[in-house]
Amino acid sequence: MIRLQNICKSFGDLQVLKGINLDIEEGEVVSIIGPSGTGKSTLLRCINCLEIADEGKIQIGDYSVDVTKITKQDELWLRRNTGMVFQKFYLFNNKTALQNITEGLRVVKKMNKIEAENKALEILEQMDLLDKKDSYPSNLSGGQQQRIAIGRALALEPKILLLDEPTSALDPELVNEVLSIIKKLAKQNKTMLIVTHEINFARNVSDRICFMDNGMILEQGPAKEVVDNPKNERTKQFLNVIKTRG
Amino acid sequence: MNFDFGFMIRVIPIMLKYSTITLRLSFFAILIGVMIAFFIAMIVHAKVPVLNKFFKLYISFFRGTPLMAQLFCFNFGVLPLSNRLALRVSSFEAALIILSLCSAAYMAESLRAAISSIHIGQMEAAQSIGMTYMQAMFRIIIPQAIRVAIPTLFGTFINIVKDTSLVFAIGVKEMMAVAQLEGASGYRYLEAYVCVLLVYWALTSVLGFIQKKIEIKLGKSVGETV
Repeated sequence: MIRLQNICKSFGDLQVLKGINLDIEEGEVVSIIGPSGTGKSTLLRCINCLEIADEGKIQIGDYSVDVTKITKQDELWLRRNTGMVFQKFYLFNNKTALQNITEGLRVVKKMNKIEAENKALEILEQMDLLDKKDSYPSNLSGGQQQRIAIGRALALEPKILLLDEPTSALDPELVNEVLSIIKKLAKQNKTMLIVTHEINFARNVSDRICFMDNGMILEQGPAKEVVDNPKNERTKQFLNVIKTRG
Repeated sequence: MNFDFGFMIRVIPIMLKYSTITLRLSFFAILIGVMIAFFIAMIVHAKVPVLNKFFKLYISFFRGTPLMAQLFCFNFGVLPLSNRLALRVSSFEAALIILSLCSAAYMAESLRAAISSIHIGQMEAAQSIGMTYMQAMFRIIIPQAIRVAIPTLFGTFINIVKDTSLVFAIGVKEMMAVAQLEGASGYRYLEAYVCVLLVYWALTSVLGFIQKKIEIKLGKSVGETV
């Protein structure tokens, strides 16, 4: 289980996260929706320690970290046990598709070359990209890059996969190939926390949806309930804008 | 006045013999310079306190003063301060020290700029899968940065080769010194110095050729097709 308690984060005078509490069960898929600039991405980055929160506790399984007393060791542990998928993929440009996936296995998990490659090939097959194993990121489409990025994070068998607007930088035609991979992962009961603007996708794939605005979670509940019958006024307003947009 | 080709051809073997001094000096200055430059660029990029400030000053000093003045100051000023040291350090070594330190300042700047040019996302992605800062630097960031830095680094390499022509002024017997001697022997300065120019041109052309090869090879390492 993943438990976030009272996560606060400020950038200078700007308070981005105002005490976030969130529990995620093993195998649960939780989506976070909400307007831009409300701290959704920052929350994921705080879990992955790309940002260090100012206050709060992060618990993953039995490992609990008070961020005010976080050590380098804790940071590495959290990063190694949470997988991050970025909006803009950030595949290693100097590595092939296969090497992007083996990199973490070799360097972080200290696997030998053959073992790592076999595992990476397995993952590429899952991502339906076996034929692209020797391609460099510069020669792959956005959708292909994002699928490899998901594979890179999955390879390390994280306790939770964090996806930060995984389809926002993609051409509309490529969105579906990435969404269908995420759907597949949800069916395999991978624990995931997804920040997304794809409301319909979130409704269909997640167990639970959190609506975030202004650094706080204003409403959360079963996915369909939040989208179809929002309780909070701000949530209603936000969803209305999206629905009328089509 | 006519150009004495025969004289020039007789001088060529002598020049080639002394070009080994140029080659040795350039080779080691590049080698040592690159190593120092890497060290400095990493420190400045990571903003290591104190050292960061010190190396910025270092870069500013060596880039902002003439090489000839540095050579003279070190060889005739700093070394004699300690008599014993001056005896042990040959003029070749003095030239090597100054050329390395000076070129390191230029190359550190190229490398620092190249490292900064790599998108922050590459570092974040590396750290997100649990790599340490150093692992991310050496496995992901620097290999990409080198590719960016190659043109300016080779610019500095070529400058090092050319700058070795100054070291005769502190008593290193290399091509320039020999050209002066040979030229004086028959008032054939033009032939002697043209010969020097041709040898330098050949040396720097080889560097240019190597640069092109490396650029193609590194282009392949990010999936460019030629």
